[in-house]
Amino acid sequence: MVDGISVKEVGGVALATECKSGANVDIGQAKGYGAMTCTDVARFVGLPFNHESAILQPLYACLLESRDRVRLGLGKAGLNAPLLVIGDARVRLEAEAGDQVAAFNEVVPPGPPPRYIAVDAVSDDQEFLEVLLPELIATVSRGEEFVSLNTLLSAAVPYWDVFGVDAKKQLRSRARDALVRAFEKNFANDFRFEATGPKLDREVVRVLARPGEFDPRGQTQGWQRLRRQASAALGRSPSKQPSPGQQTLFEDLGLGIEIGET
Amino acid sequence: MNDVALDRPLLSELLTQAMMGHGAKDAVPFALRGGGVKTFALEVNSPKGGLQQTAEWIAGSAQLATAATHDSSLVLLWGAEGGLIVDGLDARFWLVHTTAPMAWVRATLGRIVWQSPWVDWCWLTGDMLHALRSRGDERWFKADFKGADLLPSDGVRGRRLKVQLEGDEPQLLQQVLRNAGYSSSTALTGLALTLVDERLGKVEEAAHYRGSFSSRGDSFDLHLSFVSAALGDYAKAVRAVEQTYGIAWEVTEGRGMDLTGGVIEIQFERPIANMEQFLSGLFSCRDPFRLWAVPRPVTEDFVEAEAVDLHIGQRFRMDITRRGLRVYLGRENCGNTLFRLLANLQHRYDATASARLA
Repeated sequence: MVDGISVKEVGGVALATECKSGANVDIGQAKGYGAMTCTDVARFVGLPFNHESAILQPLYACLLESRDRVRLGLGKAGLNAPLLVIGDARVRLEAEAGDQVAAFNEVVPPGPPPRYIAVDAVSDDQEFLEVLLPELIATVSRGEEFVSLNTLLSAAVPYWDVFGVDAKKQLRSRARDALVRAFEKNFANDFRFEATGPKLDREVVRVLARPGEFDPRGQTQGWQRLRRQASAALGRSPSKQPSPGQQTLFEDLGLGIEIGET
Repeated sequence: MNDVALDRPLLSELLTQAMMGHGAKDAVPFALRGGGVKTFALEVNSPKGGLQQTAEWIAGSAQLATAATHDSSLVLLWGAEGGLIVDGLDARFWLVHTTAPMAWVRATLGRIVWQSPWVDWCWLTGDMLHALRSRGDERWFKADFKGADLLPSDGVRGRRLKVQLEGDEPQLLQQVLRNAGYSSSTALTGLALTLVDERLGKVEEAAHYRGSFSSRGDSFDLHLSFVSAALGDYAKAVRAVEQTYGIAWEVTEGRGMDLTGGVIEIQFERPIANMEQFLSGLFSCRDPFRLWAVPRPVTEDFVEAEAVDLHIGQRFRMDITRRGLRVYLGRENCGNTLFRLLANLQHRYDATASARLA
């Protein structure tokens, strides 16, 4: 199974990428990458150009600390593939003349690379709740009274539309289970699933409490309460920091810094 | 109700007179007071239809009266204490002119912005305010930095900094503060300029980072040209963020998906020393950020958050590192969210915070 396929239409190049989180190279797998052709890629996932004249370029990606061992493993497999090496501060592509990719060495922002795919079919309940609960809160803050699971999922999973029927069914089922458990345990007075439609054959999430309808001070407390409940549902302890917005000692005494408005 | 006999030439004449100290009682359904004109820039992403329908909805929710004018892009809103003249030439970015008492205006517009998920202030970042300096002679500047919510109580230089200086070349003090180690606390909150135009006249113009302007002098047109240019630059920046960086997955038959858009990075010079306090303050659900999230620490130095902008009811993703934030706005997100976040981080965490579009 290839981790990622990128294509360059000009020149007809398919880049088949194997991402290594560790340093061990599976020799058999590496030989498989070496033997792979564009016909294989076209057969399994499709290509936007004629596979017969296209070129397949294998690529391995790894972390900086694993670079030497990965390179060694590839050598043992007889695969001379370009290597994408990811460090804390730089990312470099090690490539040679004749490879279908050009070498680079770039400074990158701190932290892991940007993450675009939040959940997929193998995500666990908590990963679903990570995106579904905020989407529910967004629904509440828009003042909406109910939302369908499909609407929630299509907003929380940006690539929802490209999933097939079976994959959607699987995602929907897992998302529903995760929400049902969270509603029962943490949001009993805030959300519930409810049958709807003329035949009561459709289901929506009903919003039971809407902080947005409270006065401004009550609103903030209402949102903060939902935040605490979501923390519990996600298995995180709430912050021990004092509530922001409290006046400083000087301001309590009427000695805050003030300058008349112009 | 019949349209009020107001068009742009008459508006210019009435508000020029007001700036020169001469009020008018009967020209519009509310009194125009002499003494200065205030203008507020609002972002109105209305689902209610055109300018008139949106104004009527706002009037209903804020208990104001409303009337159309002879110019379809000018609408009036008023209450017992004063009125607002809405210039909706750009249907999304409004200029709201008023001569009413400031307390009433603040309360009225504050209520409208609080209640309406699609009305927000235009949040001018430090760079945007700084760019206004070239348009006149600077008379004063104001720095008002409030770090209490996001910064630790100890070990911080300039946790609260408030300075206002009037006189020639006031920006020199700003430079002194920055060079003395207070750059992260020297937020540019407001400034005042003298604008002179040989043909139009002369005005004293004050601009505040929350998209508000105050003007005295002898030419409303000169004031209008100043605020219109500032608003135009702001609108262009918001639209550029939405059009260029809104992340979307586009399905192409037979080709899978194309990812468009990109990540916006907000970088700090002042590293986050107390991550827990920073997150607690940022996601407190309070004004001005109005962000809800249950952040997920990945490491000591890296936190992910699926944030909800409670003001507009939209979710977006954020990564938080010691050196800044990554903001993932979806194609459906409002670009104003970014500028509200950045402008308020500049006033509450690090005045040097800057956005880099990756």
